[in-house]
Amino acid sequence: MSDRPSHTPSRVTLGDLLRLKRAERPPPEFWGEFERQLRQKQLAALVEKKSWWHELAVAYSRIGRVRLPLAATAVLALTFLSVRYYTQPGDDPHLAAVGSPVHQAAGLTAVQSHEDAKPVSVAAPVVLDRQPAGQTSTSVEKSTGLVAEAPPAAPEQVSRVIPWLGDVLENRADASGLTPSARSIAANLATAAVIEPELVDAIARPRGFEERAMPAMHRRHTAEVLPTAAAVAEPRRALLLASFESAGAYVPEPSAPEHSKRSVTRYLAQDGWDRTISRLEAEGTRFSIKF
Amino acid sequence: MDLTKVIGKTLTATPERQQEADADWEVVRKVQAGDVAAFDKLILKYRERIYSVVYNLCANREDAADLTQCTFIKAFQSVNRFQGQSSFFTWLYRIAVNATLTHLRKNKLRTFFSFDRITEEDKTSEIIDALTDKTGADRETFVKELQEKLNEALQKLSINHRMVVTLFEIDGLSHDEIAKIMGCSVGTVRSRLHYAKQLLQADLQSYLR
Repeated sequence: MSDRPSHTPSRVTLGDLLRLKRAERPPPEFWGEFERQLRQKQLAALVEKKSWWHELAVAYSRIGRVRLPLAATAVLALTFLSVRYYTQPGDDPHLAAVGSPVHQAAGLTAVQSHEDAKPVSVAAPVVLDRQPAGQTSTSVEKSTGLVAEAPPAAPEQVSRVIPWLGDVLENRADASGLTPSARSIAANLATAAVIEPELVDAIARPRGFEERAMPAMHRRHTAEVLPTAAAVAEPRRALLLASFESAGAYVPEPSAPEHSKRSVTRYLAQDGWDRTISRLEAEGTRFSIKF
Repeated sequence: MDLTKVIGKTLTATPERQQEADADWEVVRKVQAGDVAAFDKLILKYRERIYSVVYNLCANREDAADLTQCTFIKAFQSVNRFQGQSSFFTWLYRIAVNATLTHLRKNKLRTFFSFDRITEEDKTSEIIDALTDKTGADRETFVKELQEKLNEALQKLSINHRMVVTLFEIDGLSHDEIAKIMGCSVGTVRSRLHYAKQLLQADLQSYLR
């Protein structure tokens, strides 16, 4: 290479040098091998199972010319649906009526039988008398102003779910302070009580200590639902605490460490200790409190 | 023929290219109709040009062969989606260029060069004669050194600059065609070409007078 500059004439340009690159070619036998390998790969590609997304891509490419109007229509439709249905149940009287979880769960439609007839309020405690299944709808109709109808069509279901879903997403508690999930459970239980009173009774009936301590509640034969649970919890708690106090002095667990016994005794001697209880449990003759 | 096709063909550089594009479109339609063997015509027609582009981009003959095959297989698999909005060769080049770019990006850190021999033809021999008066084995050594130096200079360019130089100077495509293949404006192509040539000129200065 040392002699190159002295032999390089002025007419050699960059284009000429790059033309040499064009002359870099594989030998003729290379194409034979190339052909063979290509055939193999082509066959392999033919028998290869295509993935689902490939089919999706093919389908997408087929709608090539209409994809823009299609996408625009989809966006518009989605926007319309969002604007139409993403409203609070209270904002729209119709939605408020049909948006109630009780209606959703029961597949019921609100019918204003009277001017002053009001839809079921979820926050209000729902106490249902146990009675034969045949009479159920009548009693519901009388007490709530609702009539059972055929299951609603799909769009209506959507219209009912969306406002309520909005509530759930925003994690809003209603006036009674219940969470959406509590309301939902209450609604489901109320519906189940209408359809299967025995089942609900079997689920909601107090057992064990509760049955012994609160026989009055059991005699009422009421189907307890979650909205009432908060109200019922207080008397239960009072009853449990009363039974704890009537049981006599605190007897610590013999195996418990000394310092624990001392601190529990001291804690129980303080005023208002019962306000910090997070859990009460009664099992046989044992009574456990969790703070 | 719809508007996009008309525009695509209007932008095709020369009447020869247009004739070529029309001929290719006929073959493609045969393939789309189920005549799989017709695709072989397209392979035979374009394999050397595609190989040349890929080879000059990656400077490795084995990789170039693989990527060229890969390009034809991809084209074969997607030929039903080809709607003639651009010429077939632009579409095929775009597949090749994209496959090569993906390969180069994946293997950025491990690059091996393996070169094809420079085939001495009339024009090539003239250039080599102008560069050296050596003969026999010395001449071969000189050509080999020159080839290495050329490839080295090309590899110093960024992928985009290398691609523009390869497509314009080596493959002889027009600015319009390169712009369509690379998906950029003609101005960008010109600018990249100018810059790449400057760099190459500086690097290969000792060979130029």
